[in-house]
Amino acid sequence: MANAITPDTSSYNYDVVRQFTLMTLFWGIAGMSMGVFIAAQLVWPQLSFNLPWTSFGRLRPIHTNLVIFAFGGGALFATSFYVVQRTSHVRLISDGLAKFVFWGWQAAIVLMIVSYSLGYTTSKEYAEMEWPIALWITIVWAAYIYLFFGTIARRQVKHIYVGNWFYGAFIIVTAMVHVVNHLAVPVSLMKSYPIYAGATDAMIQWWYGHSVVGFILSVGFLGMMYYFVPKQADRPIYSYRLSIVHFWAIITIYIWAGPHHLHYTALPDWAQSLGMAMSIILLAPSWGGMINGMMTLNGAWHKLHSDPILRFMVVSLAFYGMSTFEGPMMAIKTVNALSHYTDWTIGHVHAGALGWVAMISIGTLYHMIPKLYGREHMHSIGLIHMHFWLSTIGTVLYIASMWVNGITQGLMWRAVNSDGTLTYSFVEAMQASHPGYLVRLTGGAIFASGMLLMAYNTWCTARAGNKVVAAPVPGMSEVNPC
Amino acid sequence: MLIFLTSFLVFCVGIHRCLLRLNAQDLEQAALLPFADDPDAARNMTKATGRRCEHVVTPLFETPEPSAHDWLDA
Repeated sequence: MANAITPDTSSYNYDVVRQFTLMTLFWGIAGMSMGVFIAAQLVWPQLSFNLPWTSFGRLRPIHTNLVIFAFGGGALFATSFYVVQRTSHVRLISDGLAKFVFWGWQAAIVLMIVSYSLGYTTSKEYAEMEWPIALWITIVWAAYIYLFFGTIARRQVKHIYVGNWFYGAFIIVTAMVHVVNHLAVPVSLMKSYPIYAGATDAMIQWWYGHSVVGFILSVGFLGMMYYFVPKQADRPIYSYRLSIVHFWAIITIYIWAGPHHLHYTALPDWAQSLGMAMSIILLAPSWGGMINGMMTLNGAWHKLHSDPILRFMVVSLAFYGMSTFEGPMMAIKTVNALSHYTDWTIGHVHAGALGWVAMISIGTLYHMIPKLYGREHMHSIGLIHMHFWLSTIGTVLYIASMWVNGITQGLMWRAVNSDGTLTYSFVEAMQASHPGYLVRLTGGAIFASGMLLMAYNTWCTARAGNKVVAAPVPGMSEVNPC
Repeated sequence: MLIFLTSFLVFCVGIHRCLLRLNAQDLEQAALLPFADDPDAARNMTKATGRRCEHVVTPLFETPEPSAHDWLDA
């Protein structure tokens, strides 16, 4: 192919990074607002308005897909394109393909929202998209793979920075599990049946489902952490050796943990036990990443007083450590017997989703946005401080209420009288959960309101700043000592 | 057992290829890569930690030349 770009004289492609950054904010607000709305539906069920397309069952996958794929995915696209260019000292290998990935991904998100509202779904969690959308995503993802790894192949430095290893693993494994889990036989334009059946189908689905958690929401965001925490702290990563060891450990173990979603089901017992064992082992590499990120602040802890962006990143690592401890504990079969199907799971997911994924993304975007628009800082540091507290308080309220609800539900469901009958009816457990749902709604609404502050702050920053059209690639000929 | 062995083998080969073939100096410079295209950040990092990037590249302020046939060019 022709060489369209001369690496050492062109600029970085920040257009696609800016586009994904702005859409990450937009979809974040949309997805979290949807979450607040369905949380309100659980407090006041009449908010479903007795309409099929506003029912909880249709809106909930819209919420999950928006926050995971549109918000989380958008943040990963934006930061991976930013990091791969800056650590490879080369522009993305194709501007046209970058545009295709951006618009292709947005189209997929819109198609998901519309099809789920209309009731078209495979009914597989996080994989609800019907076959034409899944096929379209495969094409867009193939373009992303070519763009990311092609850029790495053209790098002007010898070493591939560890952050890119994490992004690379996220990209490859996501492609693999997406394709395998969506293999289906179409019977019409919007209806298909999976090629797997019964327990095999369930196992493939949760191999995919947990890999979405593991490789998109953990490994991908660790890639983000490995670049942006050192940059924001002005300190290199605490231990580069540890980052490599825990990279290989986490990718070899995460892929086996899926069966813990199927404890006490028709899945063979050995597979359940394997999933449990791998989940427990997973604690070590997960905490390797958390400790490495935290210890990067060695000697820089004082910065937390004045730097709310760094505070976002550090608190996100704390939540990552907490939720990656909680996950393996919940994967133990005896603990799972109490926690499964209760709100404890929802609390665990949101400790990771709000506390880790959203907060590391928010911190990262606050770091990146001024650079994308040619400004020294965000428009208002005070608003970032306020956003930090709204996010932290919102997350704590959310997960604490769900823990209380989960344990209450688990204990009430398993309580039996001396004659063997159930002590509580399901409705009584629901009534006991109602105050928790109200607190969860409050926490979620507080968290989502922080995103509005961020959107306003970004708008003011972008309006006042100059778009850095020619964000330069470093000239390799000009080498200066530090 | 096969799964454990496969995982362990991937882990060992990965560590060997990525870590054991690099010397301490290579690892040090790899860790400093986020600062290697940002002279200001590199200066702050050196001031704070005493660690030094061997090569910090200074950006060239040139306007990119748009390609007319960029679509899939690489």
